[in-house]
Amino acid sequence: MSASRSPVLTVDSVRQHSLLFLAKTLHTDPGKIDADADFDRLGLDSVMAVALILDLEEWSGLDLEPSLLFEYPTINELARYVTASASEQPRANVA
Amino acid sequence: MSKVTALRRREEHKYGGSPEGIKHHYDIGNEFWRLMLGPSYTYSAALFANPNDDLETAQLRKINWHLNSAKVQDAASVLEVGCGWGTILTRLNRLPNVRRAVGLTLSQAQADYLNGLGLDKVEVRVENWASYEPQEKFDSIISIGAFEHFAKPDETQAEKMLVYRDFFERCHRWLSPRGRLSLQTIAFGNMKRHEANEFMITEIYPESDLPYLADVVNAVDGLFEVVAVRNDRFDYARSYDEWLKNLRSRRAEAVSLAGEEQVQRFERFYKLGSVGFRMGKINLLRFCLRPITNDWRATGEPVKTDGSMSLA
Repeated sequence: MSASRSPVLTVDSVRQHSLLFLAKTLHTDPGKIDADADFDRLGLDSVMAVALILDLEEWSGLDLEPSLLFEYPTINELARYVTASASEQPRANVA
Repeated sequence: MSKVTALRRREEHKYGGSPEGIKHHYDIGNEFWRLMLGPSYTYSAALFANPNDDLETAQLRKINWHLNSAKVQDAASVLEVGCGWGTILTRLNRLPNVRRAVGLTLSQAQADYLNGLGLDKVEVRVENWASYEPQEKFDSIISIGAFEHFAKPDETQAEKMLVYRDFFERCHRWLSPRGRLSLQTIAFGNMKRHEANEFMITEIYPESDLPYLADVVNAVDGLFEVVAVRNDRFDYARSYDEWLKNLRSRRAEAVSLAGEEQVQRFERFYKLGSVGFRMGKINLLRFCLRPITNDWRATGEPVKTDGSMSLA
C-alpha cells in the first residue's frame, strides 16, 4: 500500500485495529479483550502473534520486528510503541 | 531384516533426507538466497557475542566455533554433511593442513554453484549421508543445519531414533579415533511434536522433522561423548531478523527474483521462526562430539576446545 493511503497512526487507532484483528482471530467480541492483559493471558500463540504483527505491518506500512511482541507484550504497550516509532521510521511500501 | 533396513526399504531414496523436500526449500534461485543471506551466504544460525555484532561477524564466529569444535586445526581430511553454498568448504580449501574436503548436499543448485568455484581440494557430491560410502576415514566431520531434514513427520518416534542412530553410527565409523564431529541443529523445545505448525511442516520444510535434545543424546549413547552442547536459540531468532531485514531492504529486487508469493512466504516463515525461538518452542543446539574408542592415545587426549574459543 502507498503511504498516502496509510491510516493515521495514533495510540487509539492502533489499539482499535489490533483489538478488531484479535477479536476475529480469537472468535470473540473486541469489547471483551483487555488491552492491558499480556498476550499469553489473551490466549495468543506464536502463530496468532505473528499474524497480528504481519497485519499491523500491512495496515501501517511500518516494519515491526518479532522481538516487539516480547518487549511490549500487551495491546496498549504495543500500540504506544508503534505510534512512537511511526514518527521515526519511514513508512515503507508494504504490498 | 533389521528395523533400520525395513525403514530404508519403505522410504527408499527419501530415507535420511528427502531430496524432494530439500529441493522444495532450497532450489528457488541462488541469487534470491544470496540477497537474503548476505555476503556470508550461510543459511544457519550465526553466533552473536554482543549487541553490536553484525550478521557477517556473527556468521564468521559460528564457522570458527565449528572448525574448533571439529578440531580442524589437526585435520587432513574433513567431511561436511549438508554443505550449503560452501562457506565452510571454501575456508577449508585455504587451510594448509587440509588435504581433502568432501561436501554432501541434496541440492543440485548448491552443487552447481560450488562446482563453479574451482576449489581444488574439495569434492562436492549430490548424495545422501545414508548412501555415502567413503573409502578413507575423516579427521573431522561438520554438519550444520542438515540434521533437521533427516527424520520425517510420518515416522514414529522409534523410527526417527533409528535414523539418528544410523547417522551417528556412520559418522563414528567414518571418523579417525582422534577425530571430532561438530553438529548444529534446530530442536523442539517446550513444545510437543504434534503442535508443530501446519505452515512450517507443509509449506516450509516438507518431509522434515525436528529432534529433541534428548533424542540426540540418546542417539549418540555409546558412540560419542558429548564434550559441549550449547542452546543458542536467541542467535537463531536474531539471524531470522537479520535475513528479514536484508529481504525488506531489497524487497523489489527479491520479488523480481523469486516472486511476490515466495517473498511473502519467507516473511511469514522468518517471523514465525523468530517468535518460536524467542518463546523457546524451538531451540538451536550446537554439539562438540568426540568418538568413544578404545584407542588409549585418543581417549586420553585432553580436550582443547571448550566452546569458548575466540575469533581465529
